[in-house]
Amino acid sequence: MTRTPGRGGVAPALSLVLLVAMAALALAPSMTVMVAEGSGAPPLSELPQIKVANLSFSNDNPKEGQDIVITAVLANNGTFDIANVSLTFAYGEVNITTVRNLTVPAKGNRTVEVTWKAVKFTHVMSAVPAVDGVPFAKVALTKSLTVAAKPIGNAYVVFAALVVVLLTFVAAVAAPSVWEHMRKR
Amino acid sequence: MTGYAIETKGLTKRYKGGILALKDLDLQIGHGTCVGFLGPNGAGKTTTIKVLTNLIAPTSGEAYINGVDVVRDPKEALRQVDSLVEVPGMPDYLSPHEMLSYFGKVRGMSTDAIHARITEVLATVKLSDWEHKKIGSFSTGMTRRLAIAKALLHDPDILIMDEPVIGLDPKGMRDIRDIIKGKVKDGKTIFLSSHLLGEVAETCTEVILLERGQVVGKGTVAELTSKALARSIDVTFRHPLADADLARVRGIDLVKGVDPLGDRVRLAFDGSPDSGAAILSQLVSMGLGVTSFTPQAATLEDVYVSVMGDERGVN
Amino acid sequence: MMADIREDMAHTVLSVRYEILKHMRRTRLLIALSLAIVLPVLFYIIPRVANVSFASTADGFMSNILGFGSFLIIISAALFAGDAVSGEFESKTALLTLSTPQRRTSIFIGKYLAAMLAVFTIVTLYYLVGVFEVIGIYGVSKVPIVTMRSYLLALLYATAVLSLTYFFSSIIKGTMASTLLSFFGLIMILPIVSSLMMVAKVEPWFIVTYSAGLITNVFLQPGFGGGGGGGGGGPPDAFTSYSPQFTTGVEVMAAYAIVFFIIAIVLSVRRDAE
Repeated sequence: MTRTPGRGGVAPALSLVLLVAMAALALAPSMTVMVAEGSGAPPLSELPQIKVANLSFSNDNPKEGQDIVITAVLANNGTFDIANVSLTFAYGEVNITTVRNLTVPAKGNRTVEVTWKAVKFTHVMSAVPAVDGVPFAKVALTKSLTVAAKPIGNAYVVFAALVVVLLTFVAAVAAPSVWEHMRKR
Repeated sequence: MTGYAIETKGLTKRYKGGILALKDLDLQIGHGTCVGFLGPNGAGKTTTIKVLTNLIAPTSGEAYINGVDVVRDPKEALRQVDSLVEVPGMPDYLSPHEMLSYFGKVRGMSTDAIHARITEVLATVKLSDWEHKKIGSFSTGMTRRLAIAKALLHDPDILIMDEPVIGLDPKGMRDIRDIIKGKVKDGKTIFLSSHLLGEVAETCTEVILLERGQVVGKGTVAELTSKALARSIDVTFRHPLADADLARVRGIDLVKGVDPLGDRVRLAFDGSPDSGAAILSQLVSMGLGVTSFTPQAATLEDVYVSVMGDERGVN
Repeated sequence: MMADIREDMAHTVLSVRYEILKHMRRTRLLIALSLAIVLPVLFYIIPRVANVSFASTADGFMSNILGFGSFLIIISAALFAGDAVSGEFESKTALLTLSTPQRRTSIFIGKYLAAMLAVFTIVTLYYLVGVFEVIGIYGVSKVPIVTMRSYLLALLYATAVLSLTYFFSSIIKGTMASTLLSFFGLIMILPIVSSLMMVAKVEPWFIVTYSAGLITNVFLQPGFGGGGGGGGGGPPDAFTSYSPQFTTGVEVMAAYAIVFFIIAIVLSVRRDAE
């Protein structure tokens, strides 16, 4: 004689599942999710609620060599503080600096400033956050900045070169006479 | 400082490609002489003149003008020289007045002297009416006259001229001949290259014969012609010769040419006395009635041909 | 000796005067002056006609105009110096001028200086037209301070180009060949060699047409690409763009101007008027 599970066993199983689910939901905000970009990352809805909300410069028309303060604002839309945040500043492919050990409060902002000596030409400036060393490029912010090149050179140098050249031409006129005079001596 | 107006010592010029234009040429041209420089094409006449006027550098040897080395100190050497070399290009954007002013200023002439001389030389070469017209509109003869005017501008002591009458009509040739004779009378030194033997004979006191870059004969015209064999004989007859008789005379072996000249006939021959005697004997034996048989004095052409050889001829 | 030098100077000045007279009476000067005016004026007219705005800054506007400055310099040098030596021998006017009591150096340096004055006039006019346009569009206060620096660089480049052109004229017999070689050498051959060197990641610092970039680089204009003297960032197989270093560029131009001038004069003086 076999025993068939009766209706009486389903209710306790379902209750157990519900209990586990509720516990998981309660604990979810404090879980640290390890995400590797592009390698089977969890859905976006499960990433930390952090992003770079603003990126600005102390001078929008700087000249080469000037010190520019780059200000980035990190925003945390989540209900828990996010610690161990780092923010990497770069121009194009070139890193400027990485500010580490930041904590962004829940539902709050964190302002980060760095100083950069402006390099000439137009650059895409970026601020890329990382949590526990894992960068989140999708929530980074970029902004174009054009740095005017320093005036190169010095007019006096060119003038001096021109004078040297012209004096050479004039000297060439006199040179044969001088040479002949020396030869006759 | 030597006593010669123009002198070369061992002058040699080898062009690229190995052509030897001058070979150890030694020339001495005294002050106040007019020397004709004769030779066939490629003899080296123009090359010599170009070395003397600093247009080309010699491969070796020396050239002096008034004792000054042309190669080492051309500026000084050319002060008392002016020249006309080959057929020079003319600055077509200038007028004769402007062009001659340039050369006057190069010579350090004052503005007044330049203006006065321009008027004189243009009158001499018959270009006064063209003083302010652009040279680009000139004919070949006119540019030649202008080049001669430039050579006369500062009244140099030494004139070096390479074929001065090229491109001129007979009247122009006569005008230039008269100019040269006038300069000789003034005591100037003229060094003149020409292929017109008559012109050279008429204007020059001395002649230098050049062949393959070397002097093959030189002396006064009188010395050279006296040494050269007369190559023509004038014969007169009792009656003018008919065509048939002229043909018989042409048939004489030793006679190279027969030239009827009205009352006489000029016979060309090799110039040797034996040939002359043989021709006379045959004319008498033909019964043509010879009344006179006169060998002519050698001409410069005779000299040229005898030195260069018949086949080279005049260039 | 001083009297000799004074005389040589006087002969040189005479040569300059008559050479300038030649340029003025021929159409070449007119052609070059016309280009010097028309080219920059086009930069003013075409945006107006096409109803587009001018460059955002006066520096950018001047830089655009002067981008053709080096081209104009090369054309002018070819016009005035391309046949300066070869023409004298080809037309046989040398048979008149060289058989006079003046040094050949005086004659040929005079011709060079006349060509230089002509090209300097062209360059000056070009810059003046550009400056007037800047004043008209942006105002007097916006005229870039570095315009003078650029102008002096243009003059220096002009002497370098002239010396190179004169050198070709002194070594080549025919006037057409010498003029064309100068023109195409500077417009095409040297820039191609520069580009090939950059592809091989070698900075062509010693090529004079590369140094000409300084004429426009001096303006305060942002650009793209790497800084001077080194490769820019980017993937390793990207084309590496260089820009000339200021001091090196000035030295290269001055060196070309002096060295090729001396070589050209020496060769001209030794040339036979065959």
